[in-house]
Amino acid sequence: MRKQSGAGTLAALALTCVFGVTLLLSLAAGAGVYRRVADRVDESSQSRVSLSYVAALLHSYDEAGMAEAGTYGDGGAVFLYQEIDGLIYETILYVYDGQLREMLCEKDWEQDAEFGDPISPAQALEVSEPVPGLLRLVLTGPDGTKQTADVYIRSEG
Amino acid sequence: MKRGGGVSGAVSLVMIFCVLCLAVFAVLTLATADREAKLAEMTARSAADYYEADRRAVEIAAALQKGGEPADVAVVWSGDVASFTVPIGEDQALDAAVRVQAGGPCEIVRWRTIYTGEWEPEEYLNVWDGT
Amino acid sequence: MNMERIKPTRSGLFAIELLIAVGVFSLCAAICVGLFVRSEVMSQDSADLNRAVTEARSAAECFKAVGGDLEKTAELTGGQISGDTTLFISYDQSWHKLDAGAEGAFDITLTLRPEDGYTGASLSVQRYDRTEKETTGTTILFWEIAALEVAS
Repeated sequence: MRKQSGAGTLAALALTCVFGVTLLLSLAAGAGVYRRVADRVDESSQSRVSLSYVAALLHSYDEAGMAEAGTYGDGGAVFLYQEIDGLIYETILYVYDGQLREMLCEKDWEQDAEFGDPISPAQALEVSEPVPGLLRLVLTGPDGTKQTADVYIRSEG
Repeated sequence: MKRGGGVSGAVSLVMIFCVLCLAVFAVLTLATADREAKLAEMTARSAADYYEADRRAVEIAAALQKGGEPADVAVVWSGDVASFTVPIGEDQALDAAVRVQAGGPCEIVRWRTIYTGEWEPEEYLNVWDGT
Repeated sequence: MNMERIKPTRSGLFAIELLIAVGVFSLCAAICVGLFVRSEVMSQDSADLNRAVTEARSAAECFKAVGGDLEKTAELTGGQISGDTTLFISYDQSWHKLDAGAEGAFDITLTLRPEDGYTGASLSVQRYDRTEKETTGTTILFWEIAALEVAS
């Protein structure tokens, strides 16, 4: 009788251990799925906040002589101009100190790159013009991955 | 009579705890994915609206270059520069201006997106006006 | 006749409780796993749609920058022209551009449509599910775009 009850207890304990491991594995799997979904959301929002934002700004400043490529901060930059009350202001989009930044100041006012408002983390911004009017923006994210966006400045001059 | 040990109650407790955790993970994940799906749809729709308006503006510019005047859009002339606006969705518009040139393609002077929705500035802060 | 009462043992009660716990957990886990699978599919579809919009925007901007010239658009985008009026740009599952002619998981198709005074085109993004027997394509994005002639 004792042997039988001992065997029964052992069997029950073994089943409990298997059940416990199953519970832990299912929790780990659930956490893994959530991690994957959250990572994808982070990646999409990184792209949306950075390059898409720059592209949308370029479209809203598309007027003759109001948008051009240049260099500022740690590399390439986009310069957008607007006239307010007779003064020309420039909005500069550039990367400095690991951040994509935006700075609004009076045109040709010498400002340190650190004063720009940070938008999103980024390592570098390269701006090129493969054909006249087409700005090719290559943004290197904080993890080293590169995203490319082409924006055509339709206005001439 | 001996009562049942603590071990048997613990199994049920652990099971309930794990089910709760799993349910919370599942609901969180579904909510995050659903929110992201809606945002992706909005982004796609916004881009589609922009290119639809852009296509319409190109049609208008081509018609103006040929000397025609599109009936369903208001064109304002300033010398040889024609300005017109094409709506993009509900809150934005494409503000375009083209210089019509005889014997060549028209020159685009302005082709920018503008916000046309209602906007009220918040004035609860006393911002220094310089005086 | 002796009637012996069968007393339930501790391990017997424990086994019954374990069985009920396993049953309840299996039911709840099945529901949660279904939700996880649905979330994973939705998340992947959203990521694909976001990338499709970004790549389609770039293709459309390149097309407009060259005034609707398909050959120059192909040079800028790394696509392949088919039949003089259609441009294909292929991507793999991770949205990396593939060489011309390669079978990808995603395709951007630009089909020319000459108009009066400008060049029109339809731009679509397809997703392909390839199995051994067949390939099914789903259009996830469709735009009509236009390009004015660019002064040379």
